[in-house]
This record gives sequence, C-alpha cells and structure tokens, in this order.
Amino acid sequence: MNTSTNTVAKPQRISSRITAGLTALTLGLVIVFGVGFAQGQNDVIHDAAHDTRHTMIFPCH
Amino acid sequence: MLRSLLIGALLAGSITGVLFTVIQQFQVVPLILEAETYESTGEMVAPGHDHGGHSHDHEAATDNDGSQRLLFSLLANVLAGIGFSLIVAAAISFSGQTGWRKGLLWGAAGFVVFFLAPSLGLAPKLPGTSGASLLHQQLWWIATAAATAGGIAMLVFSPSLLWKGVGVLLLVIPHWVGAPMPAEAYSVAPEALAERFVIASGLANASFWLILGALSGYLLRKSGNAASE
Repeated sequence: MNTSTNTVAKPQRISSRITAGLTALTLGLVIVFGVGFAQGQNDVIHDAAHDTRHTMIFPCH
Repeated sequence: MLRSLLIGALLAGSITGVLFTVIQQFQVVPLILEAETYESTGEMVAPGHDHGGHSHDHEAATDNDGSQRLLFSLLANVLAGIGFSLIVAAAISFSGQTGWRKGLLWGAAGFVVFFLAPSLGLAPKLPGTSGASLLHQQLWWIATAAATAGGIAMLVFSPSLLWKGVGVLLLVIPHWVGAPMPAEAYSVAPEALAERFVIASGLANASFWLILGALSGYLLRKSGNAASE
C-alpha cells in the first residue's frame, strides 16, 4: 500500500529495492538449500550439517 | 541498497546462528546423542531396517570429544542463520517494513513457514526413525514451505477476499495432500525421548526465528538509515 505512493514519488528507489530484495532472496535460498538439502560427495555436507538438519527438521534420512 | 541489505543479513544471521548453537547444544543435541545410542544397538537387533544407506559411525570414530561435531554444527547454524536472514531481508525489502517489532512478526512468519507447517506432516525426527524416501520428504517439505509462505503473504497483504481465500487454500492443501509416509513406521528411540525432542526442537526453532526476525528488522533499519544518509 505504501508501495504505490512510493512508486510514483521515487521509482528508482523502488526498483533498486526490488533488485536488492531479489538478490538477497536468491542468495538466501541457495545457502538454505546447501545447509538443509545438499548431500555432497560421500555425504560430506550431510554429515557436517547433521545435527542442524535434525534440529531444524530438514528431512535428513 | 543491496550492500546494506547483505551486511545487515550477514550480521543478524551470524549472531542468531551462534546463539542457536548454544541453545541447540543444551536443549537438543543431548537428545540426538541419546537416540544414536539406541540406533547403534537397534541396528544389531533389527539389521533388516534401512537407515537411508549411511551410518553415524564415522562421526563417533573421528571425533572422540565431540569438538569437531560442535564446530560443524556451529558452521551449519551460522550458515542457516545467514541464509534465512537473507530471505527475511528480502521480505523486509519488498514490504519496506523494518524495525525490531515488525522483525518479530517476520520471525513468527518464518517459524510457521519453515518449522511449524512442515512439522505438521513431517514431525521432528530423531536419528533412527523411519521415513519415506528422502527425496519425497524433501520435495514435500519445500512445497509446503513455499505454499505456506504464499498463503500467509496473500492472507496478510492482499486486500481482496478472493486472494485471501486462495491464501487459506495454499495453507491447507499440503496437509490435505499429506506428507510422504514410510511403508513401515518404527523408531528405535523410546517414545518419551521422541516427545521430548519434538518440544526441544520446537522451542529451539521458535527462539531461532524470533531472534533472527528481531535482529534482522533492527539491523536493516539501522543499515537502511545509514545508506540513505
């Protein structure tokens, strides 16, 4: 709702906000995927993140 | 803009990851370790059970005092903190709602999206608990988190009743479809231990998300002000 008034007033600021948000979101999803889902060679990522996965209920086994 | 967002998320995520590690070591890890003792004896009793094609022996074999395991957990927790904080930072950036109070609400939403909703289908599991195929569990987990995030966003931010209705549907559908279940449900750990684990992990995750949300909201307001000056 604020967005629509801001869009008129400061279009550049809004688009840079969206770009920054999308970049942060993509980066965040990649990191969370690595911690929560990636297995790695010989399960190396799984083993390192094992207790974190169980605690945060990422499916582990 | 991007720089301040990244720095704020990095700080909030790292601090939360360290605090979460402390909570986890006292509240949750003792239960995991206890379950693993049942797991190693349970495997001798029931060798036919498939534990996902790997064992936990290597962790014990290479790490006698547990310091390596703690270090890896700290690393994983800090990374999880940074990853989730970046997602919260994105939400804050899209909505423009900063400050620690709003941050607490974002944290509560994160708790529901990434813990509560998936846990309704895939309850917190100790090592040695059976599950459906790992891939199916992971897909259901991801779909449920995505649908719950979309559902909450529509319920909170959409002015239209129709979209709010779609939001409710998104919240309900994953649980109506149901999480993938194993053909044969069993757990080598006693039920009382499993129940304690559900409560301990719930409290640990609630702490994680409230700290992460409040810190992200607070730090992003601060860094946002600094960037605009």
